[in-house]
Amino acid sequence: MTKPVLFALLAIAVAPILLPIAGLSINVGMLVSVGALIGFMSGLLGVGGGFLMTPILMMIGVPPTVAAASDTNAIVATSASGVAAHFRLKNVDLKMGGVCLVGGLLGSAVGVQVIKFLRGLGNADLFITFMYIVVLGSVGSFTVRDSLKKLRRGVMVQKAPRRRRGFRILERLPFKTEFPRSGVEHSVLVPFGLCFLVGVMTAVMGVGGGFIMVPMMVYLLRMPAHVAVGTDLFQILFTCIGATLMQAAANHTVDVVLAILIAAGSTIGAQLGARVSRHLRGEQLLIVLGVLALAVGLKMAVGIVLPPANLLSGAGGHAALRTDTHVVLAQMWHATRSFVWH
Amino acid sequence: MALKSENTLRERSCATRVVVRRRAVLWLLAFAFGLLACACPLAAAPQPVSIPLKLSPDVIQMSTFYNGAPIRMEGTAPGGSKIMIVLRGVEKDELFNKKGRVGPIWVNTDKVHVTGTPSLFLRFSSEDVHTFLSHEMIDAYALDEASIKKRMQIRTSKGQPDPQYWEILANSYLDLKKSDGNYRRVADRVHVTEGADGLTHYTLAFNWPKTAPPGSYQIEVYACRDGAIVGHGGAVLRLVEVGFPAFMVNLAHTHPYGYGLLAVLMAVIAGFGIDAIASRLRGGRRRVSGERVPVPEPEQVRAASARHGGH
Repeated sequence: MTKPVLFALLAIAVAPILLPIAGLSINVGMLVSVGALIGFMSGLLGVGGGFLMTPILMMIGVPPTVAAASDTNAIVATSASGVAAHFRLKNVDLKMGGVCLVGGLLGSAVGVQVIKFLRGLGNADLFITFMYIVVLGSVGSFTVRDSLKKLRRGVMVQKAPRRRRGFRILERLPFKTEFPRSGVEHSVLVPFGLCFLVGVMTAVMGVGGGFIMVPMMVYLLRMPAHVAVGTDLFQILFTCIGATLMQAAANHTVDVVLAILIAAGSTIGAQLGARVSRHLRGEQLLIVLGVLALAVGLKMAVGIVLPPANLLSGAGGHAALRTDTHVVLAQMWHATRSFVWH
Repeated sequence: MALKSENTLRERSCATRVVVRRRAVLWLLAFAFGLLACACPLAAAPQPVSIPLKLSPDVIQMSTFYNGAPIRMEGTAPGGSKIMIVLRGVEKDELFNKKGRVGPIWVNTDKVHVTGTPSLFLRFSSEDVHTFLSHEMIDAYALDEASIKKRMQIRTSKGQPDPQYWEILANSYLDLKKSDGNYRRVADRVHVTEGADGLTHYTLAFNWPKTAPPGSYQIEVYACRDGAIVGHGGAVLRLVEVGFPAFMVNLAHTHPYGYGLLAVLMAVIAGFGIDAIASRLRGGRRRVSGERVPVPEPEQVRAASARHGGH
């Protein structure tokens, strides 16, 4: 890279920029770095990192509603080219993606009602916190234990999946249809029901579904991993487009400038992360991922036991958004966010 | 006989009315006296004169590359005055989650609405305010957090909190504002000189925080002497978005669906653009996640191994 280009990039990085909708001025470099950090994690570990993006943006002063909505718009940017590339490689199962999209949307709508009911009882936040701790704790400990076992054995041995009773019941369901791109045959009710459940969980928890969607497609729907990733990205793109439009129409909280800068950093970071990941073994990556999930779960567990620094906290963030039907779509991307498999 | 008794009744009624009137006048006088007594500290102080406050700039334009702005306030006050400048943001309804202990854990247990407080409160002075102004005056003009607290209105999901709970919530609110940097007090920041014209010349220069949102901010200057406010002036500082940011804000509010479509289109184009640039810088095609990596044939592996002298 020539010196003038480097100087130009440096000048842009230190330049401040006014985010029109957020109404505050932030260094371009800082926003791109935040995106790059999350993107790096995404590329390295194969997780969305969305559960970190909104809180980090809030920490640097972006209002919670703008952070959540712009984050969704940034996903449109990052997933669009990914979907196109997967489409060229025939990694997108449109039929499966469509069924999952409908199931997930309906599930999230039901999840919103669950949250409303729990809020009425006054226990919603407690319920959500416990769900986080349980899900993160179990996913984290399972991943770490499993990876350590494989590391001790020395080689990754793919065991043939045993046919369990649950699978046999799923196979007996009506409305069987073939999903040629995935090379599987299932009742439409199976992907619909599973995506519905993930949708419910996403709406209740707000984040966390990314850990579930692709493994679910691979292990339960027996889709090839690359098709699962492509199909998942396809679903993400559409849910995020819908979410962006609805956020813009209902809340006027989408900041395009913020979204594009995050997406720029995220794309670069993801490629760097993917490069680094090639030098690590799959089990090592999974251990890092598992430890991360355990750490977040542990932090939440400690956070609810220790007295808070202040009894009051802003109520404009995700907790407030969950009850808004429009914004549930914004939450959905967290669930459908790809579990990138390298 | 009947006439006589009627006259007596009329006289009595008149006498009663007179007594009632006298009592009413006495009560009114007592009430007025009480009011005067209550307002004594203010009434005793001299009436503040209007003092000039020159603000430059009085409108801060927030363009694409806005990074805060240097701001300067200056003016004159009666000689020997100490100066205090207060910046207040607009009052708005703020909603908070309130944490409470349920068994061994802390969770959100209540929603709290706070009104009647400025969104921003910055106080600059030429020296420590308590050295030149009494608590009563500070309270009367809402010049510190304690006086803001007195004007604060708090409502929870169950209605008005009891006094003890109110106190806890109010203190938590003020702590939050202070830790956010929205409520700040800076002494020794206003530069004061005594001029040959017998007036006190004051200046305050600082960088307007770049994180402050657009809107109107009330600026008040107080000249204080002998424990009282002798001069008072004010101005309004406006922060407005111009150029591209203004266009985007306007579009987002006037044509929300159009703005949403534009946001999606821009994101898609940016996604492809950034990806193309990143791939070009890497000098190759982007590998997508989940892409099947071609597995080398055993012959290729053996050949490569032989080339490197390995197994």
